[in-house]
Amino acid sequence: MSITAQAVVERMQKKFGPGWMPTPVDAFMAGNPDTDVKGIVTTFAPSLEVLRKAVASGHNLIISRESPYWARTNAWGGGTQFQGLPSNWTNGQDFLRQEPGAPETDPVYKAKRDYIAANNLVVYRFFANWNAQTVDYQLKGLAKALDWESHYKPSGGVPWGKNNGFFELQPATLKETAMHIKKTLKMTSIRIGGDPNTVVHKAALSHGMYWLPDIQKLYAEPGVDLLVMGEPYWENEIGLYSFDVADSGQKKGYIVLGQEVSEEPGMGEMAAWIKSCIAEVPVEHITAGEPCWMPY
Amino acid sequence: MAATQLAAAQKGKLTAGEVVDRIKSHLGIPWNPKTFRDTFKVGGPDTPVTGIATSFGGNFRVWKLADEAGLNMLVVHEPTYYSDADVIDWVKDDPMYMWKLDWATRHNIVEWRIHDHWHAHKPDGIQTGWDNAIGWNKYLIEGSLTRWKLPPTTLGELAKYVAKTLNSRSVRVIGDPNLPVTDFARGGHGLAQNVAAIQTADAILVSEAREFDSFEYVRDTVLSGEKKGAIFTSHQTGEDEGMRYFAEWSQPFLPEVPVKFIPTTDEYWTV
Repeated sequence: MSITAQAVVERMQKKFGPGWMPTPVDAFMAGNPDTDVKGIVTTFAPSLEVLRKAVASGHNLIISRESPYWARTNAWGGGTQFQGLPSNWTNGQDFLRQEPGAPETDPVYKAKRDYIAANNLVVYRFFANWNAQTVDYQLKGLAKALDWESHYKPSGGVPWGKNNGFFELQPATLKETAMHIKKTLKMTSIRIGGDPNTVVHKAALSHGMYWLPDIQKLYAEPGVDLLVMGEPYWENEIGLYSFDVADSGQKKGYIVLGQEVSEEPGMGEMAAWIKSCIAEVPVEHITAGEPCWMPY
Repeated sequence: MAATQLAAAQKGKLTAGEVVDRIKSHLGIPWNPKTFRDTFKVGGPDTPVTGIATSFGGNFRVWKLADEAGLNMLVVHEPTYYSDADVIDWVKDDPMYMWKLDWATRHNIVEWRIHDHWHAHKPDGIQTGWDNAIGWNKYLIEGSLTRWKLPPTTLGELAKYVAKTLNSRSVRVIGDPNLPVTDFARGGHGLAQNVAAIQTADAILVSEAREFDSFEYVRDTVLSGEKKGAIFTSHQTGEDEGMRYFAEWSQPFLPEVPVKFIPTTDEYWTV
């Protein structure tokens, strides 16, 4: 039995159901969609290392959260708040603006493009529709990775829905909690804010980039004394929100995991989701791994 | 002593509006009347000024330290209400906003932001302050303000130096710690700036960039076999010192009141 990359995507769209949105983000980013698929890899970022591992495993379709050529393309980044901006707000901090990526003459671009071509790889980005599902599988994956599933205490609404990640934990100090999270997720670059001695009873869990409405909702949940998050969408904007919460006398700490650490477990959920509709070829999750380390 | 007496005599007379006018007249560049960033964020021009605190952020900790030091005017580089344009609509029902505004009113705080025009100052005031703090001006490559020829070091040693000198616990690095570095360049927030910078250097220094593009691009650069690396700092660590320089720069033309730098600091710690 053979199946093309295009057919894999159509199968996924069918499983997804009638709500599938045509977006410029959920699209083939590299390779030929008519390629016969030998095996599928899900990953946060299709780095050269992930591509090499895919090739070593004999897999040739990579389904990733981020783009192989780094730049996000446009408004489908997942933002929620663009009402009420001043009419002259034209600064580059507007992620609606297309961020130019590497030029085609760039050596890193060429190395990646050539590797993809030489190994007949296909890269499909699955992001906006995956995020639009009622159940937030990225949240669920991260909760599982933290071994927090049994501590889940949703705040009304849809269980495992967006911004509904609340967990009642065994009380421990912020420092102890951070050390435990770092160890459990095998991290190298955890960042923490707030008084290390704050006792954590209830955590709000988020992933990926977060915006002001996200952080407002998570902090407003009664009893929350810890926010665990992916990447602040601008440290000079909502990054300062966490500062203010911690410094205004509220005993609430925050832990910033980083984008990859917070999103990678969800890509394991995606592999399982794809497996449930693709029987012809193996489906495997390959982690991109934390990109950075700290000099401490 | 004479200066102190003068300050005491005029204390309470200088208004926030006069402070802003004086800053504008000393910048040496035309004022952009369309700026939405460089405006009053708390209070207004009529408030009498007892002293000025400069900082990166308009966050509460900075206000509190300013108030304790008897400085009621804040001149900050970044937002107060958590969005670049300080859109009140997004925070008007947020208890944090109401609490902060109430605190500011009770403590007679007036706050004005200088972002666009401090960057537009020649040379860029934020960059000048950072350069003064890091101490590499003697290594600048001739004709460039963003590239250095450093005494031979390694990426790991350089990262330690940056973290220690700028007092940050959140420095992150991509690349081999033993990578030899002499050509070092400043990148930027955006992917395109970092793509351009890394090709000119062994390693680059980046103040807040997105992880899904800049971090992944540097990761792929290293994986492609290029001997390169990058050091990433928080936005605070990358720009705080620029407001220390603002205090030094503005004190001479604001002799009536003290102008003090209060570091926003990078509040992160790590385990």
